Amino acid sequence: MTIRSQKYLVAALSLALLAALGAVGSVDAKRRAELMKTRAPLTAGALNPQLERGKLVFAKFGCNACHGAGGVGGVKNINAQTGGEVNGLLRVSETYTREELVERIRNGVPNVDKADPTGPEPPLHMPPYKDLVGGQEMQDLVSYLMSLRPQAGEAKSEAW
Amino acid sequence: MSAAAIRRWFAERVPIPPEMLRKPLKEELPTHLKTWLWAFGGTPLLFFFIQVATGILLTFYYVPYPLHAYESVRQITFSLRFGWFVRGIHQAASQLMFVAVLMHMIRVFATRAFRPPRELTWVFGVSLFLVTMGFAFTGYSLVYDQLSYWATTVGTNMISEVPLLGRPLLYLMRGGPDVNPNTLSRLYDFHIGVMPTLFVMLIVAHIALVRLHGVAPLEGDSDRKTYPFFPDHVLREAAVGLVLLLAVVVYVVLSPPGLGTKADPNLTPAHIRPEWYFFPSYRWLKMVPVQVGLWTSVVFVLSMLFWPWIDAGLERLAPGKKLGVLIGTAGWLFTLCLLVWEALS
Repeated sequence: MTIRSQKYLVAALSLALLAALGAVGSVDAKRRAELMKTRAPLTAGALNPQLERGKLVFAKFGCNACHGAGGVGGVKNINAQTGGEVNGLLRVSETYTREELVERIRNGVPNVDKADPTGPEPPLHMPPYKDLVGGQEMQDLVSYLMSLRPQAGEAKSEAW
Repeated sequence: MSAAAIRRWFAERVPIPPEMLRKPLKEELPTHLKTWLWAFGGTPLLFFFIQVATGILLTFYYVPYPLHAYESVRQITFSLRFGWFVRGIHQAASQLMFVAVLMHMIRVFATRAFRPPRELTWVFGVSLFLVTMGFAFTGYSLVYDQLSYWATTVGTNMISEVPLLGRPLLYLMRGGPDVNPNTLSRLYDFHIGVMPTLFVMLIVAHIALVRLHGVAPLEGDSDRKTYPFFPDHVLREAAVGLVLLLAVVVYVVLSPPGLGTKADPNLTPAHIRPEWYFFPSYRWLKMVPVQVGLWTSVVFVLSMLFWPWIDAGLERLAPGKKLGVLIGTAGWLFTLCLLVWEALS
């Protein structure tokens, strides 16, 4: 095979790969549309569009990494006063007003209280999100967090 | 600022002679590399890069904690935009990376390219193969569905049977005597930290030795004709790489990744089986007593690692009889039989 024909081959394959990646976009859109359709009956009445958006904001900013999927908590935070774990979020509606929660998200929690005052500093603390979350996203997120409630079997991880 | 000025600015700050940069591109390769089969050397590296890129994306959403691991994989696969695609590529490319490393190794073995002075290149290559297996094992464990959880439990159980080092290795992997919340974070650390670091170190050593020694000439081939690395060989590697990338993308679109039921430590599934690349050792360990199986596996791995010296010893024992090739081929075929046997059972 000559160099010229190899160049054409590589160019053709590159175009084919680009076309395939383009197709991935439409497959993804179709897949998501189908998933939304199948999910709609399950979430009807449970999550309104704003709560759905808030749930996505929760995932987008990685809140689940520390507070757990769905805010159930359970991630270890050695020597934290909240049972050695990052607190769950299932009871925020009982603890904060919307405004207080917005402030909490904006400013974070720089110092986490220690369970044992002579023990090590808990490694995880909440960073401030004031430069990242705002406007409608903040409203959606707060609405979602205020909608969370403990369910049966989650009593252990809901500690605040 | 003109292009020449930018070049001059860099040349002053990074004083590497341009000819030194061009030298690797101008390297002359023996003509037997023109065969397409020899264009697979760069493939494992290409897949490694794909794994790094998709792996980084997956870490953005994966939570390595038993309570959330499964849920985060579910979210990646079914909720996130392109999550299914990224996870699918990571999964499919991991399998192809394993095949590519294996094919490259078999080709080097069959052509005895490990002959002196290239023994260490082979040793680094086999080490890369072992790290690839480690990647596969730890990666599969992270999914945290029933099969992955129990494959991890059985796999780490086997580690405890490794002669001499079993117990310390078990504690190192599990963070305790049983699979517990520490285990997942440790396997995650191995998968995204320890193994990539090892892999990069080994691949740098491997490629450096290949470049320093040059490509191994074919045994008994007196043809000394050469052709340039760039653009000739690079184009072949690019064509092979693009075909494989295309195949992976099409495969993932046609067969997107799924997810089994969530791991349940109290419910052992009826059929526990590792991923297909562990079939040979799994079948072997089922056939013979565990201690025999593990000792022979250790001997097998050590033989692979030190094969250039074993082959040279066999050659001295029976000159010209190609005993090494015969024994090695029998070993490969036996491994293949075990794989097929387990796959069909």
